Parts: sequence; C-alpha cells; structure tokens
Amino acid sequence: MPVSRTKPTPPHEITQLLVEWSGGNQAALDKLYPLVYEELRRMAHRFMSRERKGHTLQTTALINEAYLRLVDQKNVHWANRSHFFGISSQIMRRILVDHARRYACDKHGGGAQKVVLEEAALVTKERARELLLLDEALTSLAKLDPRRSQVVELRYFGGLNNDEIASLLKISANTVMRDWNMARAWIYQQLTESQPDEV
Amino acid sequence: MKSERYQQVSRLFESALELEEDARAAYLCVQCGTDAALREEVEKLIASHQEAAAQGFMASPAVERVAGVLTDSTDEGEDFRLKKGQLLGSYLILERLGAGGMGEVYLATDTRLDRRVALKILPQDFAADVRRMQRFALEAKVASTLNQPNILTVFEFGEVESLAFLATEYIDGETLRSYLRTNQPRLKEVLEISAQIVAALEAAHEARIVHRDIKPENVMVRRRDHIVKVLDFGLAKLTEKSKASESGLLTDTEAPTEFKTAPGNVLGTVAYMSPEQSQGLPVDERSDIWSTGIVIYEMVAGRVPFRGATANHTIIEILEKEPPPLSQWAKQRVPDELERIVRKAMAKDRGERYQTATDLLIDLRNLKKRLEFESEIERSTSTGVFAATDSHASNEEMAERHGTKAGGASRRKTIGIATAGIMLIVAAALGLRAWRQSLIGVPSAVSPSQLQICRNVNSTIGSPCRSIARGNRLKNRFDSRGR
Repeated sequence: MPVSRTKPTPPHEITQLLVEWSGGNQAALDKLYPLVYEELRRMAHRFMSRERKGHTLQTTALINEAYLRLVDQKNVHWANRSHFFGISSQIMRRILVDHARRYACDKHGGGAQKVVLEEAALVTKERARELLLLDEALTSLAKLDPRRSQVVELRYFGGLNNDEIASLLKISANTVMRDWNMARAWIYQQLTESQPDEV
Repeated sequence: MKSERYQQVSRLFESALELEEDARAAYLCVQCGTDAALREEVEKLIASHQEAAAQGFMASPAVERVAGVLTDSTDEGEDFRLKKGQLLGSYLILERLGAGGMGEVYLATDTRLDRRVALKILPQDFAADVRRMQRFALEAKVASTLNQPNILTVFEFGEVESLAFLATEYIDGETLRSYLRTNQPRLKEVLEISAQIVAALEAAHEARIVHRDIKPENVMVRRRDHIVKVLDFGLAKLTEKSKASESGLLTDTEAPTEFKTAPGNVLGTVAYMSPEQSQGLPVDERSDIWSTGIVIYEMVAGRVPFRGATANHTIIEILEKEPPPLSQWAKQRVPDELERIVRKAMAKDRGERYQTATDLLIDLRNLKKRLEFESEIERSTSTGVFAATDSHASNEEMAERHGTKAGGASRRKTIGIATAGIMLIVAAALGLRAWRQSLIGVPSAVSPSQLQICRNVNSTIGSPCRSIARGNRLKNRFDSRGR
C-alpha cells in the first residue's frame, strides 16, 4: 500500500482555515484549496488502487472521509461541514478535469505493448473527453445561471443528494430538482450540438 | 445565448415540464405567440431533457464515470494492484500492458505451463456487480469452448486473493481501431482481415454463439503476421437452446457495451448495431453479419456508414437510411462486387442479408482471388507478355488508380488481348474448380454454358477476369439456391 509521502497538514490548521473562510475570509480559501485538493486526489488514487471488493468509489464517502481526516470535529460548527462539502465538490471537479485533460492528451495505445488494452483505454479516453466538454459547458452555464451550475457541481461532482444541496444553497429540494433538470438538459444540448460523431 | 433569452427559455421549459406532455404544445403556442424561434428552442430543450433522462446522462456522479482517469495516471506503479515480479496464483506478472475503465491488463507467465498470457484484472466495481461478473464468467466459458485460430483463446477465469481475472492468449499487436488510425488498408488487406473476422464468426455461429458486439475495438491484429483475432465474447449470447438463456442469464434486449451511456460515448458502439439490435429486438447470427458489414465498410471508406449527432440519430440512420456507396468515400477503386457484398451484409431486412457467415466468407474469398487474378494480369500485361498492349495497360492502371475506367475502352481495341482473354478464360475455368474445392470443399465442374456466359460477357465488357468472376458468381448463386 502506498504511504502518504507528503507530510499532512495538521487538522487544526485546516480547521482554522475552514472557519476563517466560512467567516468570509477569501484568503483562507486560497490556502485551503490546495490542501484539500491534494488530500482528495491522494485518497481517490489510493481508493482506486486498493483491493476493495464490493465498493465503488463514491464521492460523498470520499469527501466525508477527507473531512473527518482533515478537520478537527470538536472545533467546527456544523455549517462548516456544508462549506467543506461545497468546496470539495468544486475541488473534485478540478481533480477530475485535470486528470481527464492529461488522459485525453496522453498518447494511449501508441506504444507497442499497451495496445491490448486499447479497448479499455479508449472507453476511458472517450469519457475523459466527454468530461472536458461537460466541464466547458458547465462553465458557460455558470455565466448565464450561477445557481443551476452550482447545483450541477454539487450533485455531479460532489455526489450530494438533493436534500443536502437544498440545505447548502438554502433553497427547496423541489427547486434543486427543477434546477437540475434544466441544467442537465442544457448541458446535454451543448454536448450533442458541439460534439458531432467522433468515433 | 443571451442571458435574457436564457431566462425566458428556462422559465418556459420549467413551466412546460410541469404540464402533462400533451398539454405542452398548446401552452408553448400561447406563451411564445409569434416568436417561433423561442418555441423551437424550448421544445429542443425539452427533447434534450427527455433524451438525457432516457440515456441516464449524468445519472451517477462524475467520479464513478471517469474513475479510469484516476487509475491510469502517469504516476507509474503507484496505483496498480499488481507489481512486476509479483505472483498471482500461478501467474508471474511481467509487466503492465495498460489500464482503464475496463480493468487492468498485465503480461504474465503461467508458471505451470511456462507460457505467456494476458491477464485481465477486473476493476472492483466490476467485481462487485454480480451481473457483470456473470457476464465475465460467461465470456470465459463461451470463448474457451471455441477453438478457432481467429478467436482469442481464453485459458482461465479465476479468482485469487479476491481479484477476479481472465487469462487469455497474449497477442502482440493492436486493435483494428488503433490499426486503422495509422493505416489505410488496401483492398487486398481489407479482404484478408474481413475474411478472418468472418471465419471467427463462422466457428462461433456453428457453436450457436452470437458475438453481438463486433467492432474494430474487439478485433486484434497481430503485429508479426497480421493474423486477426476476435475478442470479447463477454456479450456473446448463446442462441436459443443454450444453457445461458435457459437460466435467464442474458436476455435478448441486453445492450452491448456502453450502449446506455451519455452522448459521445455511445457512438462508438451504436454505429455497429444492426437494426434489430438497435431496437432491442432478439438478435441472431445475422446481426453479426450486419456489424461485420459495417466494419468492412469502415475499413474501405474510412468512416462508418451511419452516424448521427447523438446515439438516437445514429439509430434512426441505421433504421432508415441506405448506406452511401463506398466509392463516395474511398480513396481507392472499389469493385462493384465489394459494394454488393457490403450492401448485402447490411440489408435492413435480415432475411435479405447473408444468411450465414459461410456465405459471406465465400463471397469475400472469391473476390479476393479475383482481385489477385486481376492484378496478376495487370502485372503480366504491363511487363511485356503482351508487349503490344503495354502502354494501354499502364494507362488503364493509371486510370484505375485515379478511380476512372476510361482506360478500358482503349484496351478493348487491341486484338491480342481478345485472344489472350479466351486463353485466360480456359485457364481460369480450370483453376475455378480448384478454388471451389478449396473454398467450400464441394467438387465442382465448370459447365460449358458457364464458359459461354464468360465468353459473351467478355465480348461486351472486354475484361476477361471480370467476366470470369461474374460467371463464378452466377454459379454460386445457383448453388446456394440448390442447397
């Protein structure tokens, strides 16, 4: 099993940053972001490499675990947890997009030996490209409609359910559902229009 | 889209969705008034909503969908379950060949038998999915019953230390998909590859196994000798009398890989689906014939015949559109016979398709022999056997290379070639018997009437070899009727 190589940031420091950021300090977020990014990335990787039969990688579980590891529970208000999930959804999006970009640009299958797996790599590559397009569409949506795009981020990248999103954004679960429908249809349309049939 | 317009569209979209489906049109009519464009936009969005929902677009979180990008990262070694030199059961891991959403694949040595194998390890979400596991087990079972040189040999399906794996023959080569990316195969090669795919299917069909997912990703081309191997019988479905369908393990409506997924992803596979398959109807051997037809088409044309902006559009094309002729895309001359073969393989009505892989195989092999024969003649005419026609012959060669047939007329004028033509017919007729025997194992005699056909055709068309193939084809048709 891989051992974490970088020295982890002490929980109280992260907790402090989270509290500060929740209190409106944007500079705290700048410090918090890379720490959470690194932790989530490492956890996701480790998860994928571990033999955990019977488990699929679930974002909420992942973020929850990160939260438990990173944040000192005794010293934060429950509202901070919502904030942590909010920021983590954003970070998960970044992690996946970063990896997808690397993957999509990487020359898979060109090597002499890698080709047997071409089939698998191809699926992943297609999905990586699709994710990049989806990310672009979501960014465009954010300009037109910040709230709906946030709903998508929380649900699709953060793995949060409608009730969790509702309480985080302080809107009704029904509104979350409607926002989701609209945003998904809009993104789907962008994708099918911008992406003709690349086989 | 401008922000105001977006607000307008989204408001109408949400209100319309609250209504029953049949009330929406009237509602939008009233709301949009004379603004037809607005109405169209809202309707398009509603259609997108329905399509997205039907396809399960974004149904599960992103991380589950693109987990593969996390595993197959550039940080070598960190994220892989097996290491070089590690033993998994009796398999010694030599190196990692790759990884992705479908699992990790390693090159390994089976220490019991001292042979090289490709070891496919299932990803954990796969292994956790009972249905997928059953399918995987079936892949192993099905493929291991098939013993044909063009089918990837499966050695073992097993589980060691909670890792489910499949050990198969190791092929040093690439998939046809990857091969096509860097090569534009000549006709001869297209026919060689196609014939091998069809030979694999012939064996599978004989064992009452339908592959159901023939596509370039599932065909390997070995580097050394260009031997073709068909793989992934994970979706194969045993036909009626099999145990699998008796036990309800697989159903007819089960979709091939990645079918019910988001746009972009779907296309790769949907494009090869037969009309009956794309409608979720029961499929049989003839569905594989269709998919093979698409693969042949793609090899020649450089693109699949049916492709739309979304999976649904592609399916509509599959169901309704006739494939554009190969000659429309191909950079090389496409023989009419190949157009006919491909059209027949892709007949919408499966009753009009090749009914068996064997029939298709015969046509492919005949065409290949004919082309070889033709090029032999081209070669001999241009190297001085018929010195008088030398310049004409090379003109024709040039013309054919440029996709025109203008050169044919000039050669017809030559007296020498007509005589040679008759000589060749006789030679070919004698050879024909040997071909047929080698092809279908049925002794055949060339009847005088057939020679007559050839001669007549020859006198009007002027190309001796073409007319022989025609005679041959007539004979085949007659044969298949008689059977």
